[in-house]
Amino acid sequence: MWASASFVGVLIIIGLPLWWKTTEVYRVTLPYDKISAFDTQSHAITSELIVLANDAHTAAEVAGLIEKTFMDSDVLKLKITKRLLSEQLHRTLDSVADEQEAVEEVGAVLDLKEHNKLYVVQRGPLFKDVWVGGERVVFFRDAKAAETLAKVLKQWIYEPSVLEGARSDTADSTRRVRFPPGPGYHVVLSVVHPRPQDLKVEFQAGDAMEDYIGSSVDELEVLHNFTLKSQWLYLLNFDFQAKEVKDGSEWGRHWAAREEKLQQLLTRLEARAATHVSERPALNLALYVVPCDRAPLAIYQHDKKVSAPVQAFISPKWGGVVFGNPTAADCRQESPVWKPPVKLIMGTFIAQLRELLGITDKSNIEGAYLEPLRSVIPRRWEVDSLLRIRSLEQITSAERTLQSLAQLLGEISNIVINDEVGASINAAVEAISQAGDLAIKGDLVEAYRKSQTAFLAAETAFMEPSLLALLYFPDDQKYAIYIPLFLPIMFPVVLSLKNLLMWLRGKPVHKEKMD
Amino acid sequence: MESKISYFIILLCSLLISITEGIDIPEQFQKSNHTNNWAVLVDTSRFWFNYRHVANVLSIYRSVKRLGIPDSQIILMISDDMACNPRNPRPATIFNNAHELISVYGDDVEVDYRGYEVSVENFVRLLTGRVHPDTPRSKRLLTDEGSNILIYLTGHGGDGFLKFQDSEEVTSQELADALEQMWQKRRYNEIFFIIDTCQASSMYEKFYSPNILATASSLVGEDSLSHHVDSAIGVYIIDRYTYYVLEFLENVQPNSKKTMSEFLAVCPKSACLSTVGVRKDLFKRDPSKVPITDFFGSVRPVIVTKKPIEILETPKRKKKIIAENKTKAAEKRGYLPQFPVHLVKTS
Amino acid sequence: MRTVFVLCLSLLLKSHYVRADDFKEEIFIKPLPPTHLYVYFQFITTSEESSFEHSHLASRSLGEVISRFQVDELHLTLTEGQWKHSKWGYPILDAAPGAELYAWFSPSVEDVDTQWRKLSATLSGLFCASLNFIDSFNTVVPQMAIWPTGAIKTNQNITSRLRYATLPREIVCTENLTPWKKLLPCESSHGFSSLLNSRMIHNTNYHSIGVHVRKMCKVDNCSDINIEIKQTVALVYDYKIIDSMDWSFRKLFGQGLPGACPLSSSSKIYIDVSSNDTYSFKLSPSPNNVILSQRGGSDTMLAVYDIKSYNHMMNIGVKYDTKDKLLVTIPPPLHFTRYVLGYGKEFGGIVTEITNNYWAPIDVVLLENAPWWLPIQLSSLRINGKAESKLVKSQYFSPGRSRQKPYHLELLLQLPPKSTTTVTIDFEFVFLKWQEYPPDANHGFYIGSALISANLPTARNYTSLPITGSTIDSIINASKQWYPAVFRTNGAMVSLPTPDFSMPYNVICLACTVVALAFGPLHNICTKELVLKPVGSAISLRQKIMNLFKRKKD
Repeated sequence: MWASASFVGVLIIIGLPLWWKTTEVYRVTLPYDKISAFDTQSHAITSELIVLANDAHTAAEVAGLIEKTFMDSDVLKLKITKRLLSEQLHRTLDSVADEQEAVEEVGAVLDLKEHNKLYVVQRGPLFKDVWVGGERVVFFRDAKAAETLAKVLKQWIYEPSVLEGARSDTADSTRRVRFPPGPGYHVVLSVVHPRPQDLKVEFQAGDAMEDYIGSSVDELEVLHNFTLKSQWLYLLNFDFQAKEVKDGSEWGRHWAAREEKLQQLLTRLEARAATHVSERPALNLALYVVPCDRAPLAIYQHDKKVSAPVQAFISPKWGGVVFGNPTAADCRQESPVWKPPVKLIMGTFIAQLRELLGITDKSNIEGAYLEPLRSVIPRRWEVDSLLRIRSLEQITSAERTLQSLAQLLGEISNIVINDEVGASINAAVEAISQAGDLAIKGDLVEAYRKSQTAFLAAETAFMEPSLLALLYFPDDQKYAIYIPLFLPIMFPVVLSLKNLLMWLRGKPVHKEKMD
Repeated sequence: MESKISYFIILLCSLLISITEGIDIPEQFQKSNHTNNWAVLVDTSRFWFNYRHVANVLSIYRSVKRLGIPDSQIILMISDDMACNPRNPRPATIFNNAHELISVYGDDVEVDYRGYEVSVENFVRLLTGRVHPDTPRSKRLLTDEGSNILIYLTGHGGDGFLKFQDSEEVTSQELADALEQMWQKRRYNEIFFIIDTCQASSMYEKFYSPNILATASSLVGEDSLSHHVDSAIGVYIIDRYTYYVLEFLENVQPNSKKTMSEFLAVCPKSACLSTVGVRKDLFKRDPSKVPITDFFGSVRPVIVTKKPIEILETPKRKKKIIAENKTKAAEKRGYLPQFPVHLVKTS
Repeated sequence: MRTVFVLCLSLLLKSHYVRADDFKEEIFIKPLPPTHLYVYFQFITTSEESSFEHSHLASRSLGEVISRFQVDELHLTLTEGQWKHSKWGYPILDAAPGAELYAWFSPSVEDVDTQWRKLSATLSGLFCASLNFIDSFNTVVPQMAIWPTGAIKTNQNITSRLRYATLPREIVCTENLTPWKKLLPCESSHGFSSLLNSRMIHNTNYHSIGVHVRKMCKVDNCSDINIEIKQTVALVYDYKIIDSMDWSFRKLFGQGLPGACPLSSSSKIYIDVSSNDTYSFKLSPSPNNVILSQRGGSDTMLAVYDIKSYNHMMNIGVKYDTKDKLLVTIPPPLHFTRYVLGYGKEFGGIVTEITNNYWAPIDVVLLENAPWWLPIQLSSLRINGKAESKLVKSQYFSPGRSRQKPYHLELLLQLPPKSTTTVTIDFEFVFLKWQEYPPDANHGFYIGSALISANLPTARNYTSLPITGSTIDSIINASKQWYPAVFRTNGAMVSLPTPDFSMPYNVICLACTVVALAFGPLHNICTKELVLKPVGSAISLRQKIMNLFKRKKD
């Protein structure tokens, strides 16, 4: 009987665990409770706002109204401090002639370099209720301007609706345009020159790229890494099926390209631009040099010519195209040479780049003046705004990825989670909570960094190739191998169990024989 | 006064950027909110006598490319080389018709996965995005929540599986799971799934993720048959279902008003000799109101830029100047002898 | 004052990139009498090293690959067909059948193997080829056979930074030509590349496309370098396929030449008309120039067309005066062949025969490269049937490791004049794992070609460019002491022991039956005991059977 028992014993002690071990799907224990507790709608970002007014009453009134405006926003928490302008600053602000100087004066006293800190400063001699420039300073005239000021803060500077869009489930209009978050992008400028034999183009693409785009994206270093590239694509023919329209210009005509045709140009460009070689997503910028016999080319939108200094368009999440139209004088030379208006063209590219990176376009507000951008560098508060949007977007995206993964693990049984994936899931969960806390605290740059860590860790966890390790070992094959092996062995052992049980209870095994 | 003018300019500029979709969609259509189109076209069979499967997949490739999906957004998987196969009497061509009018292979073809690379593993990795980190971007399905994906599979199949290169198979459950993983990661907006194999409809029966419209060349228990032989090439050159699909697609233009329900009825039983299966329950829209270009064409929203930034002074990048200042140490370079002459001399 | 001015000027010059990019296109045509025609295209783009980020004529995508993986020199060829050295002489650039990739990485690369894998994966995406199958198990580090063709820093160890791999099974078709054409500044719309019509060029006996990137000295003292990207196409037409000996561009490429690429600084066609003496033919239109090149004791007549001066459609063609004439082909100084020995599925051998037709000894390096599933033993190496040979001047052997490393043998041989040397090495077959077999395992397994690097003392049949030259005119009168060349032998195919692939299920069933059969008695023996039963009352059959199962209670 001992032999029988030892068979059973061996089977139970070695066989069962072995079977269990070899058939189980390896999964690290994951913080499921934390993941399921994620609430993507709960995240908010704190931002600091300092109201500097000439008198306490104005300060209180302005701050009160701002507070009221942002009270119902659960995505943005404003930390408002009221302060009085120092007598000296008050006097200088009232005396300096223009706003730029006033900003410099404010900058001399206060630290404008700090992220996520906006100064709302009173300045009496303002031609408008509210003035906004490139620095983290907003001027307002008096207490009566408070309403306009609140509007400016809401629509231009803090944009709570965009922030809500960043954390929402479905993409809003700005999210459809801007590139998805990522650690870095390639910016590739392609100069498309369909007829090099007929027109010479004097354009230093590399220099323009470095100087204009380079200076612009250097300011966004805190957000992403950028690599700049440029190339020339010759002899790329594209038929716009443009119609000739007579007009009173120097050319006496222009060519009308319908807006609907433009997307096909992108397909042609993409085939040659070869941006898929790089390991990062590429932001395409293309300068299309219009051949002389098709110049000037104009985009027609709903049968109306688009009036703009430069004909250009963007395609969301892809990039922008600018048409370079040589002038009649350029083309009528003996050997036509075109010197592109670099500032204008690069200015258009910068405008496109801003939009593709998520800097929204500011609509007009009655009574408020937004100093037009005159350089390639984005406004400082726009960078803050981007940081806020991206942080929120990355946190919620990471959360959603982890939730999806958790759900998939429940639905599909043969997904393996090895230690590495487990580690990056844990890292993502950790980084999400840290980023959330930092965002509430108002430490924007750190919050952004953590959110990026979380985002990348969650993406790697979800996209890890090892998740499919059991691709070739689905359940049916498992049973096909184990059942024929274990069944013949188990059969006699299980049969002997009966006897073993009797023996254990002290009963005679073969009762009937004893009779 | 000056400030007034500038204010005016701003006013003018305020209506500056407007969003329009690339194609006007008639009102009777239900508008799709996809922002890009992708296609995954897979031929799973190897060997010369399966010429027709390659012709099938290239027929679809030709159509989607003609209708505007760029090569970078088409993942083409072909298991064997038919075009330059030594048995092909017309090198670098693949025909879908004995008249040999259209070479579906064309002169501008990019195959992303070919030969031994076409395996179940690579296919599932491609769909789920779990590819090896070194995989180039052209071999990845870089879709997002706004992508409409056309998936076309052809090869030899059976009830609940599709064979890859006669050596392995993907089961309907694995495929359904892969699509669910795509859905969970928001890797698609809608999927149109076409499969041309025997017992094809068994492959979509296990799908459970939303927004998938599926069609198959035959129902469970039926075979999908080939269309005709080209005696010069010596093999069957196309399958019935795809033959009629291509015939239909050749008449579709990028601005076509044809609907998906027309596509689903493209091959009646009298022509196909098998019943075309359709599965609509996961798909939210009514196929009769979905334009065919939602899956076969390409949408690319275009926004006209009207407000450039007026740059006052030419900027100079600081970083570049630093990089330029790095002086390169002059290194001694030279050409080497192209043969280990030193070894010859010593011996 | 003057120095300030110069300084200002130099600063000004520096701030603008000097566009040093240059593009040249060339065709070299050589009749390979009596039945073949060799057509070789080369497109050369030179650019400055610094301008990879901002490229002009050079392809940015290729430049990005080169700079991202810090590649010093890169050679990639995709070839279909086998160059027949003994009949056709030597090509300008030899290529192994299938895909061949080798590259030297920059000294700053720490982990060459990882970079190599990443490079091949990226190139696979760029050229639509399965180069991602290149891994350590099919990569060798040649020690003597291949040397960088570019200008390199002379004081460094070069071989350790070299990786070489071939994929003999790789197919080449339009899908490879399409991305290849996209690297050209004129793409396929203008210039010589518009002749590369895929239906025509794939209808040949041999076709090979290649990309070769190297660093070239800009000036004589080599203080500054340029990057040269050379894209090549080599075609061998069979007169049988084009239906006559008289060829023309229309017959070869389906169309005439529409003119030069507007971006090229030079567009020239060279036709080797040396065979005109024995096999007279007429060129139409007549060439701009005919040059006599004397190189290493052999004379070559080259007809030159400068296409830049034409601006209309051209259809260059040849008409032979006499049709059927026998011709004695002079074999090249060195030719070789390779084959597999043995029968059955256990042992075999690879034989490489190298013939030296020349009156002087020739030094060659032979590189044999056997995959891990075909283990070769150095002890079985025989040269002309003998284990020890005076011909071997140097030898390198790196044994393979299963699934990790191929077997790699290099021999520096001195081939005696007017002789054939046979190098034999034995191998044994290895069983692969079930999943390691390809889907068409019964097709056979390809062995890559062997590399033969020769230092030829004569330029007979030799068409390669000298190392310092990049255009075809550099071969004119380029006499040197030695003419180095790297050749590839033909590949070979073996059929490995291939199981029936339903075998795993059979094995499972068989194994389980055996286990069940074995376990039952074992269990019984261990748990039951046979007891003698006193013979008494007669027992029934049922009782007997029950008794068999009875066990004794102690």
